[in-house]
Formats: sequence, structure tokens, C-alpha cells
Amino acid sequence: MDIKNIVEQFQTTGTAGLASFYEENRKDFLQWIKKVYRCDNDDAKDIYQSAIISFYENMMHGKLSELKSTARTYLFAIGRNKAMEFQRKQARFVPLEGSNEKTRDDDEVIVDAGLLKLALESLDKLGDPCRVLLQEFYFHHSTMSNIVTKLGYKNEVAAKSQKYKCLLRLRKMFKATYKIIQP
Amino acid sequence: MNEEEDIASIELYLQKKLSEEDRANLETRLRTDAAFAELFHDIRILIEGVKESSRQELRNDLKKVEEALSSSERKEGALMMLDTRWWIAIAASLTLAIILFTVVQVRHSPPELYTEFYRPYPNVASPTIRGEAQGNLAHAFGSYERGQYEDAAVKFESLEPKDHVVYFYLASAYLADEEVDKAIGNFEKCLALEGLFTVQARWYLALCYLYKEDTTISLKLLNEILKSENDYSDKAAQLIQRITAEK
Repeated sequence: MDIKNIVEQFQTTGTAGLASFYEENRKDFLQWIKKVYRCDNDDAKDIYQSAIISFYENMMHGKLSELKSTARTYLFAIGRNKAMEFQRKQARFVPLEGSNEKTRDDDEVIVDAGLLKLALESLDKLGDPCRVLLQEFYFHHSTMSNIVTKLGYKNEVAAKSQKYKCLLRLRKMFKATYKIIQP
Repeated sequence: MNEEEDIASIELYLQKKLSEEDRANLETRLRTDAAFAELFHDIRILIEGVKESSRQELRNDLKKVEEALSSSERKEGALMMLDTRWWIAIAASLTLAIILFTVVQVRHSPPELYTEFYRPYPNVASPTIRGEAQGNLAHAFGSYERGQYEDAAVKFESLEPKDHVVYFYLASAYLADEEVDKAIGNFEKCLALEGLFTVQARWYLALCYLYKEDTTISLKLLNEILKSENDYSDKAAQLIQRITAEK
């Protein structure tokens, strides 16, 4: 199945579709990563899960449209980078292996860890349905039309308006907490 | 520009979707407008927070999938060990029988091969979207996960419209409940829609036809699985070998 079909499937089936993709590639990926990077079973699974999440994000954000390899090859290329990152942290052996596929995210946003933690706590306090709406828009990159169908809004204008209100409420909670810890 | 428009332009800037001119204007405004700079700073962190929260939820979902798959593998491993001990006992008995001048040949019928290779597909789906329809879907998956296959089948049947995933799990529930004809019908509907469970659907449909002793269709489906790289290739190759050997 090509990337475009995979994207459409993920958008309609959500995590069910991603779970199937996870299962299809799991055995070969784990065998390969344990062999090449000499990591144990648990570490291999952590690396695989990180690779799947990055694959999903890059795909849903439309970053795979120029992909020349198959989805599976790209997943393994991400896995290679994740494993090398993991090994660097562990200061272990790192095999000399390159990648021709651009998998690192140059758009990665570096945010202060403390502020990120505050944002997560504020999002937790915000709760549903705002949290789900914001996740649909900013992480899953669902269109307003899909959001209307999935979350039951009256129309796209209503969904967009609600998204804006949710973001402002989140900001208010974030700033209130921020002021408490930074008087 | 009002606040909603400011947020929209910040979103486009962060996604690198602004024109060069608009990007330059925004960057100028960041340097000259303190309130806008503060808004930019907050929105940037909050969007990253939403993404990180989503990643954590996705990781939790994947851990559940991993646990379901690992658990299924452990059960399969235990059953294979049991089978292996059973066959060692049988082989020992046969050897004894041969020594006592009796030759016995053990052959496996297609339904016996089905029993050897069939394991209920684990629940790896966990719908996370809220809403009425998704609630009914979640209940259906809940019954499936608890092994209440008849109930799961009823719940999956009630969902409209059905998609590739629903047909797959409906068929799987029927198969686990030994309603093989209903399972066949729904696996075929699943395959007709094409999707991420296509390989799994082909595997289980092949097993269905094995149950019904139609090895011709079963072999055709298993050979389809071998045409691409996937997690079922090894099992398909093994089963093809077994079916062919038993003919």
C-alpha cells in the first residue's frame, strides 16, 4: 500500500490502523534492531514504539510526500536514527551505518522542559472535549471537516470557533500556573 | 489583526506555511510588539504541549498493542510446547508400535491443520475518539477483548456504516465463535474494502477455507500473502508446506 493510502487509512481508522501497521512490521524490526544495535528486548520495543510514533507524525504532517522509498524502508530508517540516539545516550557501541533518507525532523521545536511540563499539566486540567479537539487539530492534523464528523460539531465554523476558545482557555490556565511559580 | 487572526498566523508560521513576505512581517512584529511576542511564545509552547500529550497517549496505546501481541505469542509458545510434548509422546508410542511390528501413519486433515494454526486475533484496536458511535464501537471491542465473541459479533453487526476494520473484527469474532460461514462473508467484505488489515484478513480467510476443507482456495490466499513482505509470510509459508505435504 502506498503512503497516500496509508495516510487515508490512519485518518479514518485512527489507532486501529496504526496498530495493524505496528503488528505488520514488528517482528522484522525487533529482530533487526536487536541484532545490529545489540539492545535487549525491552529497549528494542521502546525504540520501535518511538519509531512508529515519529513515522505517524511525519506522515500525518505531510512530510512523506517526497518519499522515494517504501513506508517500511522509511520506518526502518527512522528506527536506525532512534537506535543511534539511544546508543549515544547509553554511550554504547554505535555501528558505522549511514542513511540516505532524511528522517530527522529539522522542524523539531525545542521547548524549555519546565514550561512543557506546565503546558502538559494545564492540558490535563483543561480536560475533554477541548483536549481531544486540540489534539485532533495539532497532532493528528485532522481537517475541520473530519473533526466535525468525529466530534459531532454543527459545522466547520463551529469547530474552528471552539478550537480557538479551547486554546485561549488553555493559555489562561497555563499563564495562571506560570505566574504562581514565577512571581 | 484580532487575536484569532494572530493565532492563525502564528500557526502558519510554525508550520512554515507563510509566504516570505508574511514571515518577514511576523518576525518584525515579534521584535516590536511585546504583547504579540508573548502570545507567540505561549502558543508555541502550548502547541508543543498538545503534541507531547498526544505522543504520550499514542505510546500508551502502542504499549497495549505490544502487550496484546506479546501475550498472544506467549500463549502460542506454551501451546506449541504442549503440542511438542504431545507429539514426543505420540512418537514414542509409534516407535514402540513399530518395534512391536505395527506401522502407524499420522496424517493431518485440513480441519486439524486449522486447529493447529488458528489463534484468535488479539484486540489491538483501541478507539480514542469520543462520541456516540465511537462508544458503541468501544463496547464491541471490549466484548471482543474479554473473549465474549458472540456478544462482540452482535455489537459489531449493529454498527453502521461498517468499514474495513469493523468487518475484520466482526469476521474475527464469528470465527472465534466457530461461525465460519459468517466469518468468510465478512473477511471477504473486509478484503473488498482494502486497508491495513488486508494481510491479517487473508490469513484468517485462508484458515476458514482450511476448516471447510477447501485447500485450493486456502493455498491461493496463502500464496497472496507471500507476495509482499509482512509478519505473516513465515506462517503462510509453513502452512503451505504442511497442506502440500498432507495431500
